[in-house]
Amino acid sequence: MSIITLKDSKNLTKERMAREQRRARSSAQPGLFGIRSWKKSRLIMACVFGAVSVFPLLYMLSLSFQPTGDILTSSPVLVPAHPTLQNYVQAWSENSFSRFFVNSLVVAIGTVVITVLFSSLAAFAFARYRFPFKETIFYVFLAALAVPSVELIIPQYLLALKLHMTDSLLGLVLIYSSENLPFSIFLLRGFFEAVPKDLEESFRLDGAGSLRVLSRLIAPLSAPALAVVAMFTFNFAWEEFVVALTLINSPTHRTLPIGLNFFISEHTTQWGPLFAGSVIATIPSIVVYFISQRWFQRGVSLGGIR
Amino acid sequence: MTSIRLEKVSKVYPNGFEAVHELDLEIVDGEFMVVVGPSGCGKTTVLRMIAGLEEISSGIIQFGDRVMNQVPPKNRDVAMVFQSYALYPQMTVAENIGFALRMKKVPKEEIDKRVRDAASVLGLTEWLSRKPGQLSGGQRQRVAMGRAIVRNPSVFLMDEPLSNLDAKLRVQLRAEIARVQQRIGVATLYVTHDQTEAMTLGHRVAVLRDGALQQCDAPQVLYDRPKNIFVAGFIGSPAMNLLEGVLSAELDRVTLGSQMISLSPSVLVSHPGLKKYAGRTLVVGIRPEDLPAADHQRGASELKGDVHLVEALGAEILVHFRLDASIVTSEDSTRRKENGESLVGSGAIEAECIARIEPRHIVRSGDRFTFAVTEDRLEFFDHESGLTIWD
Repeated sequence: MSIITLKDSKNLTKERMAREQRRARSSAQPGLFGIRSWKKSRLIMACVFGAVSVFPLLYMLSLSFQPTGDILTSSPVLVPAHPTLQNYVQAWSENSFSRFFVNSLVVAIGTVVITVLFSSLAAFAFARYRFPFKETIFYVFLAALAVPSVELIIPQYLLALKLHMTDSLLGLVLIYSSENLPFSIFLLRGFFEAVPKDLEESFRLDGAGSLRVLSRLIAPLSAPALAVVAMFTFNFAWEEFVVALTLINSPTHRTLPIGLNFFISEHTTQWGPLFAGSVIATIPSIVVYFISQRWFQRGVSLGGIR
Repeated sequence: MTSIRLEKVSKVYPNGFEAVHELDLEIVDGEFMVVVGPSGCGKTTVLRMIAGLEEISSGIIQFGDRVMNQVPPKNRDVAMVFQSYALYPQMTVAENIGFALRMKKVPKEEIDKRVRDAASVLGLTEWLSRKPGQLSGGQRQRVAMGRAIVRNPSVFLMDEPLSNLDAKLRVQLRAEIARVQQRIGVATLYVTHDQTEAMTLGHRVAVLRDGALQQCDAPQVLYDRPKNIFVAGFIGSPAMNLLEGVLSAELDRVTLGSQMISLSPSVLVSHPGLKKYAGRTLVVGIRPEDLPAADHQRGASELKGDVHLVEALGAEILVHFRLDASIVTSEDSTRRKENGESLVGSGAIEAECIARIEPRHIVRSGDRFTFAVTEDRLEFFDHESGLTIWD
């Protein structure tokens, strides 16, 4: 009896192996670089999209190192013929560019701190508490997402006027935060709800109060979502132009996007310094992206036990 | 050191479902109380109410002299082991175990010492710097235990802590839990649906059903003197055979279908209440081990059954056989009572029974086999109320 079973299983294994070999042969036709065809098409797609998004950046980087004379030639090149750092020196020293940079940094970091803090608290309430009109309030928040932010400029300006916050970085921070809160709350609520209730209950039995449940349990477990919120918010505040242009009057309070605009005047545009300034302006976004990425990975590695 | 007292505690959910009905229960200091019952009987709700994770609808919960009804969970000094273990994935094993102490602002050296002590008790020392995600099921369970014992809580609650483990590990950790509980010596409430765990672990076992307490006694008492059909059917594996019978007017025999068991006077002495049932229908309960193979002694009561399944377990044989008597199932007895139906008379005149016999006997399915009946071990139940007939 047992011998028959053994034989049977051997036959079965052989059959299976043969089948798998056949399948492997049919799908593993060596194509470009020996990569299977479906993988190849994916690779091509990725390359196309990558090129589309990376090329402008590369071109900007290249132009930032070229003297103005070279930039305006009829045959643009990607590799600078006469590389120079002059554009960077000029960009940083003209128009109090460094001041704008610091202003933008202050506004962006302030916006991130306020948005992350308040959206976490709100999302925690929506995810974990029961209170009257919870869903209605949530949908009111979501409805704010449907309003284009440009339409809000006049009300926001009037509000800032009433609060004596025109021409102030704090005013910008508050307006930017208010615009980022709805989406952040929406995103975080989903993540917070996914943290098992048992963990929270255990935390409370171990002596933790609500704030500690949020800060020590739910926030660390939702690190990827918080990183996304921080990154989006930072980029929003970093590159916002219209509100900053409307609200800020005095040169000392200008932010970077407005500062970059100074390189474009009525009659001439200083292309070299403009691109150098743009490259400098891009660096913080990239830094923030890499910092956030570490948190994505950390969050993913925690995911296993949930 | 605290005792736990529940007085007429009820829990009604907003949708009107009553999960727990007027529960009275006292767990004295150091006692290991097991709450057991089928799923949905409200046992976990009881535990969560004691922990403060669930509000109670009415009644009083006391720890010692202190009424805890309104006290939030973090001030109850309760340690709980969750069915899912609820380990904090972002913390290492050491941080998990020491977390409650950190919340209490215990000095760091003291925390380290207590965490190491707990880890050595549970054999976790070499895993202290791991994250829960890197541990096996058994190790996670131990961490959950460690987290509970390190605090020296006044109340220890466990919600089916072994249900996610494989059978072998379960037996091993069952012994470990008993040892740990003895060591920390605090009032412990352990919820399970596994009656083996209940019988082996509990100093006392509370049997819960549809939110109502059926019986709370030492495991052996539950087994030997169940208060009603439900407890009789729930405690014991394989379950007690419950059959509809008619007691003769002379009180000397019970008719089960076409067969008869004679009752010796000693049965009447031990069950004086039977006198009221002369000539009436009642429910007869026979434990599988009280149906050994007949040795055909003169005067001994016997039951003949058609064997349809034989399970040889090595040390014993479980014989499944059919009798031409009506079977009574304990699971739905209350429901039928609520619907105004009699407990018996489901119409099934073929009762499926189980006997546990010694392995030297040769039984095959299809045989008609004769079992001896151990009269003194018979249980009798009122077939309307389901209550045991003793006095």
